[in-house]
Amino acid sequence: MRIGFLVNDIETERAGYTTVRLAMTAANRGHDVWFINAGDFAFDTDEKIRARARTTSGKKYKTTVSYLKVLKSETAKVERITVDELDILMLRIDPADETGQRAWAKTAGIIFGNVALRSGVIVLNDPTALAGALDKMYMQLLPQNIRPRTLISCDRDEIKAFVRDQGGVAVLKGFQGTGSQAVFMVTEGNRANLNQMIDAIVRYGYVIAQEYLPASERGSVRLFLVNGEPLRYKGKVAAFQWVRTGEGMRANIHEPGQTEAVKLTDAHFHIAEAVRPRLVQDGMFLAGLEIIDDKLIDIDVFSPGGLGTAQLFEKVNFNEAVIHALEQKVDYMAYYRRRFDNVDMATL
Amino acid sequence: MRLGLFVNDVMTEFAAYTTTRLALTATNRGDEVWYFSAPDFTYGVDEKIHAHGTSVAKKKYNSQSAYLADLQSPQAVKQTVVIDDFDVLMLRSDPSIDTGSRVWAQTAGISFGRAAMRRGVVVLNDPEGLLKAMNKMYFQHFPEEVRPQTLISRNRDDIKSFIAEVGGNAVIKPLSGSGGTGVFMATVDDRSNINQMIDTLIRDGYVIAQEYLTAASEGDTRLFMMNGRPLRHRGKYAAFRRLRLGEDLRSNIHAGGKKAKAEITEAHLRLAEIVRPKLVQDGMFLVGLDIVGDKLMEINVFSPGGLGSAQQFEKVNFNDAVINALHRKVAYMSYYHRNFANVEMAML
Repeated sequence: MRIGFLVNDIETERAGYTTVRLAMTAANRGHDVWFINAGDFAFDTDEKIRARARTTSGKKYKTTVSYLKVLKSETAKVERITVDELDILMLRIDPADETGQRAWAKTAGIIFGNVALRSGVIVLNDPTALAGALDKMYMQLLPQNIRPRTLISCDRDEIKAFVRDQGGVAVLKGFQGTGSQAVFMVTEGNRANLNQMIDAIVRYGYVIAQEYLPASERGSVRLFLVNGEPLRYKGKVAAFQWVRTGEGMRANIHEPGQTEAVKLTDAHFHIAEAVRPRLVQDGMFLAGLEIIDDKLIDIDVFSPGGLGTAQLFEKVNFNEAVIHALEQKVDYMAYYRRRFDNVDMATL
Repeated sequence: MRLGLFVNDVMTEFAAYTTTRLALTATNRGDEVWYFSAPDFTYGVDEKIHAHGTSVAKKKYNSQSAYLADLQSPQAVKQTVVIDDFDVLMLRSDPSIDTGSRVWAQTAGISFGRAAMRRGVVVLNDPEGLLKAMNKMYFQHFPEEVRPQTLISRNRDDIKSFIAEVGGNAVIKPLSGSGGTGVFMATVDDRSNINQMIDTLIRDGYVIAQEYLTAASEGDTRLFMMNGRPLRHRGKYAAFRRLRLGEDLRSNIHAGGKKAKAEITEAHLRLAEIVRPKLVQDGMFLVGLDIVGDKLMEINVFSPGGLGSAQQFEKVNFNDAVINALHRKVAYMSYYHRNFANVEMAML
């Protein structure tokens, strides 16, 4: 198959990234793999989408370090490809990384991907759904009983009343997912700073005030979903535990840090089941759930990472399972001569 | 009918705005009308959308200026209302004026509108349709034959060779954002500034380069579409012409064009017919088409203005027709107990 990976910028990709692992797995299986930067698309006068893209020479790679090194080097092949002729375009831009003058790059994949799918390219995750997931309202469209108690508002008094109702302990963060990256934990001890915390976020838009989950002391669980189901390969599920270290204020979110194996419970699978209908309806092929206890605290549908970490603990290569799923879609599309709705194909 | 009007900011509305005309018409017909500014929404812990609304005290108004003066005065009625109980929420904010630190406001109506429509509020235009239209690529999804020849790229050389190909005259503008900001005209006579113009735009993202239509020197025609068809009331089309004044290529009202009566031709109606399927698919209830010759220059789906200008030349009150259409939707929704897909109700 011919597959394109859209990334923020190839220069900032790292060997440990899930995108690089997926790309190398596909390349080693003999597929034609191209990397595209956010700024390298063009809508040409013949109505086709083209892109300046990079690929490696077609040999096999043992490590993502050597693969990425070749990809970034001058020996990599750089060509202007016709995106409409790809079988699959994977949108792997993390919009949170693109702020200030590069804010335009947040939506480059969504915009050009939406055009490419007219030619029968399978675009994953579905670009229209991704456009609807750029702010945290996407979480609120998932069932209420799997979410922490939440208020979204710009109104200082309402936010304060919420904190009071929660017994003086709550988490405050930005709604936009972009704007302010600040996450505050309000406690009895720092209530005096509540106004300043609200100000720091409200400057960039709406504020999310959320119930504090005591279990967040122990960290959170990442669980991968593919085609709307927990990603299972050779009897193992792609998941791991983030362990909280130190006294960080970033409650209800994960901190990059220590990881360990996780024993998944019924509560985790119940959450996966509860989000499934919405993910299928939206065409979210690959998603990373962030779970604390029996609550979903975040869902990454843009560029979920950590497949390598899951592999480290579970000892199976989940990248292969993802590439299998893509190969299957390309087969389906061949049977139907590329005439199939992208949203439906995304989770088949 | 309980009608909500979402605007950028209640205090920056003008008496002549189409939004004010619609509000006045509905109020005078006995409807309950509330205005909301971008920060006025709250997603409450009860899972409902609440909002700090502003309304007028009197039941009848003789002029838009009296209506708006009351709305913006300290005597205006301020109340927290529950959006879930509304019949219709019209999203009438113009995202192109929310820049810089207010960029979050561009999508506030869309995000909260998506949540509200789950509860049977008719949200217009459909927020998921609007999400697709947040950048100018939306225009490229309409059939090729109604659009000027276009290139979208971030590559300076490609843009320059396109301009040469179309004969040296082209319009260049940013892909993101709408309205007349950042629109440049590259002409054969002025080759010296072309690099600077392109570089200025590339710095902030992708650039659209469009062939210059010579007919544009005579101005353009704005034609309103409602429910996917040309808006017609008492035998008259809601339309008018904007004449170019002097050197400014932006023929829109904000750039100070002069207006005149429009002659709606077969070519205009054919264009309207060609754009209809896509508008219906996306739930675009009220739309302004900008037409030059037999080509479409722009489609305004966010806050199309100029219904008053159309009334001035055609001598019929088109606001009545829009409010009639809303009343009809409210009646439909009551028959179906508010169980109906928003995107379909938008066009019925």
